[in-house]
Amino acid sequence: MDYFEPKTIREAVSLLARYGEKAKVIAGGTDVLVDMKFKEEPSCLVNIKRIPALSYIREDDGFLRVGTLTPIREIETSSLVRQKLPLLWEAAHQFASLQIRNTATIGGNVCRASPSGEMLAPLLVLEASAVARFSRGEKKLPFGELFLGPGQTLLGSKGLLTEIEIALPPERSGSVYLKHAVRGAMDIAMVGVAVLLTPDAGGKKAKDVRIGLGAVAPTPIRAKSAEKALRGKAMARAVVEEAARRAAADAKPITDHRASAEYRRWIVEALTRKGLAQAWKAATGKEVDR
Amino acid sequence: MAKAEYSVLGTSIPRMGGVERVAGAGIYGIDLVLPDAVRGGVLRSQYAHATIKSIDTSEAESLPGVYAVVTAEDAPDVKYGRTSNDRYMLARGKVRYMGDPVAAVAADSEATLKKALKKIKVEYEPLPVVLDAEAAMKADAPALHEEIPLPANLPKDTRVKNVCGYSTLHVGDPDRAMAEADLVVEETYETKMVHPQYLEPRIAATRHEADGRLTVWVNAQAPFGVRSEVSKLLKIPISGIRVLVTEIGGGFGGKATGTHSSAGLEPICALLAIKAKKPVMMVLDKAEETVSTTVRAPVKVWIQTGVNKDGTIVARKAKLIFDAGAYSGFGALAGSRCTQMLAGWYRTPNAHVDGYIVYTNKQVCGPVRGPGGPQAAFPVESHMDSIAAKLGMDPVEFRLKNIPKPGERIAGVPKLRDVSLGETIRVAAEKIGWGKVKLEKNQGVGIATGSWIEGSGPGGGAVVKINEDGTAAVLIGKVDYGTAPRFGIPMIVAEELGIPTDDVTVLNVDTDASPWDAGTVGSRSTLVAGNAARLAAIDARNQLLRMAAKQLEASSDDLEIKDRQIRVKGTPVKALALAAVATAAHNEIGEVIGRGYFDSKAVEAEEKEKGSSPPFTSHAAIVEVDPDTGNVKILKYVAVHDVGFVIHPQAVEGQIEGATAMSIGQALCEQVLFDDKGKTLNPTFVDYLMPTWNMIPKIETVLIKGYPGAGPYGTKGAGEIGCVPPPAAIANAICNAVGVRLTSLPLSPENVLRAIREQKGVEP
Repeated sequence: MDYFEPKTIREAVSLLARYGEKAKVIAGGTDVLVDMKFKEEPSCLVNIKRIPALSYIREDDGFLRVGTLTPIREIETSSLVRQKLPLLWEAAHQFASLQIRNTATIGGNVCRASPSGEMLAPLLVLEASAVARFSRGEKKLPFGELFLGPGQTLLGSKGLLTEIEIALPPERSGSVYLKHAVRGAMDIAMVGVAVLLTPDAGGKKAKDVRIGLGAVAPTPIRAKSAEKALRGKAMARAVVEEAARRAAADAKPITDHRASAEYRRWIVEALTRKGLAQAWKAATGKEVDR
Repeated sequence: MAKAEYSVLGTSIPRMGGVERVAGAGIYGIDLVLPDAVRGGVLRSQYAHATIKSIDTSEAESLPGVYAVVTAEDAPDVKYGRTSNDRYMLARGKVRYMGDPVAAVAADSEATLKKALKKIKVEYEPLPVVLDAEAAMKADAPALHEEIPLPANLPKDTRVKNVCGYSTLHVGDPDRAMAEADLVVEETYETKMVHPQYLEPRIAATRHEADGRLTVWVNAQAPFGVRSEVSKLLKIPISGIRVLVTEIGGGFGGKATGTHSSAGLEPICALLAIKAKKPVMMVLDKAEETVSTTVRAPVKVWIQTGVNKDGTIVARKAKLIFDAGAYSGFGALAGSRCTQMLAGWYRTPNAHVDGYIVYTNKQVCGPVRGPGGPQAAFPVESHMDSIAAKLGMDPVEFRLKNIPKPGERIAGVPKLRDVSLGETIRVAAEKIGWGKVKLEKNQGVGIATGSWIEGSGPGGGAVVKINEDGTAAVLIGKVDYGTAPRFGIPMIVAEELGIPTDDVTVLNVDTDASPWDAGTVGSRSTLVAGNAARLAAIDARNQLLRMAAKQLEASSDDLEIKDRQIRVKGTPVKALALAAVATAAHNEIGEVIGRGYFDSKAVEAEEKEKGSSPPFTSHAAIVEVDPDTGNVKILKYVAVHDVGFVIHPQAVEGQIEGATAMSIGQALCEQVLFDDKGKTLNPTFVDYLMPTWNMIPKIETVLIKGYPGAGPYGTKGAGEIGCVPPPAAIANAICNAVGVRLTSLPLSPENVLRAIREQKGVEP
């Protein structure tokens, strides 16, 4: 196995260009090392951990920028994130165990592109962008298009993720991330639901609703028909319940050893209903109308 | 019971060896470093059922760094088994589960080993696979062991297949009593396979010594069992084998039955070491452990009970299908215990139970903590609540109505001496706030009881040697994996010798030096080694007192040992230092050596005459069910136990809490899952869900007193019984919370929500 520790992004990108599919990028290593032990060793390992200045959380003119090497724990303990992006904080907080949060990076979680990746559904509803470097230059890839399948992203084998760019949501919006797993903590999500809800000026209707679903399709997805059912509507219980049912239909879960597809749909419905009510309350201080 | 006037007994001394464990000292099997050792590993079957057409090891053998490759051809044609010799250490002609050892390699590194295992070419001819025990009994099922006859005790005309054990119980006239009962309740229940999942991986290391003997290092609970089985399988005399036990990081019965539990790891390791002419060390990884080693067997139970309107149980009938796995292993024994327990531990004058222990193409049943107990108590104690509901009776009242009296019998106990069952129920009900606690919506309270075996079984000895400084070294055959050897045993010896516990060293088992023992199993450490060590300490004390008597000019009867001094009772000034007497002994008899043993037959005879007092327990729980997700949260948990006299309260509470937590795991989330080919789907801790601390409630343990058992000073076994009631206690609380009776484990969110939706009639 060839092993490299590039010191610059340029060096890393040229290694990826050279080795292509054979190369594996490693940062925190919480997934890569396990794969190396239990599956196959890659023929080339590119350790980007030594590239300086890729771990940061910065506010920048309506955006929050998170460096690709930022450990999840940094996000969890950042007062800036907690204040400006409570949704991202919530996802970081529910991420695996403390030990893993200390080691795992946000870039690794995104590039791993696991359908159940804890940060992905929240980043999807935040309509974040992945800033990536290719040998020909930089590209900004919206999260809505980034994921192609489990472990597959638009970065391909040659792109290096450098930053996550997140537009700050409107001040009066409310958000929530709900995760369901048998053990609660220290467990892979059976279903993850992220909700970002912006009420209209009157505080009666949902102006903008975004619902992200994790672990119920080959990639994290938006529950588009559920969002549509709510947009511009007064937040009444029947409407919320209808949206939750639509979210369950939007999901495309599989049956595996963790849960049946049927159960995952039930949970999508329950968590969407709960998430919408909680997000609405966070935004308006009010319960959903009966 | 002896009066509580002990100096050490009844206190909670720090666990001997506790600091090393917490500080991460390299003391476990996996830390063992043998000079010049090479690495051993096993090639396991990739089919759950297949004929082996051929094995070609030539490519593996020619790989640089490979020291030995072994298959069944390298070993004597000898089978092993506990109740039936049905298994080879390395598969011969056939494999019966996906984990069966087929070949093994010794190599210079882990990497070479992996490479070599891949280069072994095995040609299989797949056979039909049967994973369900009930299906395996049917005529059209594939035969797993054609050469093994059906059990001789099967009733005539029983048309079954693949049955490796049959157990039955018959009391009174159950047919008639059932027909005459006011109410008959009938249900079926099911439990799933769980793995004991001790954290420390299993190891074996072997060195072929210059004198031709074999030294085998194991982290097994039954080192003498390992010795006898290695001897038998490799045709080496017992005297040619020495087994040394490393410290053990958890076993829970999973490391119990000699080589069975480890799927032949020790004899395979020995075979490799002989062929490689090098010491060989083997370590199983977690996934390999889950797919190959012994498990708690899944069961299917049909249970029927007849009661009178006033709540008196008049009859019980039950049928058990106990899934032994690919080989008989411990199946017939655990299945038999499960069969007995299905008759319950309440007064049941008429009963009939049939227990079929059945081969399937899965992991083999081992004696996992309370073998057969949780599998019986989940149906029995869930069923008790179902009956109470049909009678319109309170579950506590219904249970109290049917408590057996001293002198009466329950299944497995011909004559009861005294019965703590009722008191445990009353205390548990009071502690949980039965009938008083205010429950919110979706909250419920449940209770379940349990019992466990006590008394007779194999004997065991102890030797107490007195060093010249008055300290003591103790040899017993029980190993320390968190049980008596470093809690109760040093306390007993210290108490009887009048020395501090720090002056007592309990040696780890070395089969060349330690007294023989059947294994650290069956909640019997304190019963066997405790009784033996007590008698050995008394023997040593009497020898010391006799020697001191001459010098002190007193009768040895008037002497006592206190604070490292031998002194005349009531006249403390007339004293000799214990060390001086122990040193002086060198000129007379050499070292003072006390000997004691646990006489199983004597205990059996006494119990036959006076009856026995088995341990009883009641657990009560308050749970909250999330009606949206099916998630069950335990809000409060009470475990009331009668364990007789308590030597070390903290150790006993620790055992009970540990067993309860383990069983809560089986109740709420644990199970080994398979695809239809018999492949384990969740072999690692990522997918095999054990409860983490956030799922385990604070377990409030209450030890009730006044019912002495057969152990030293009146103790009873405490290591396993805590596993018995939890699944039923939680299922009963769920039923109380949401009105749904769950009849299959685990009580996982999906299973609970499905049951709630089915009850509501929600379209799926």
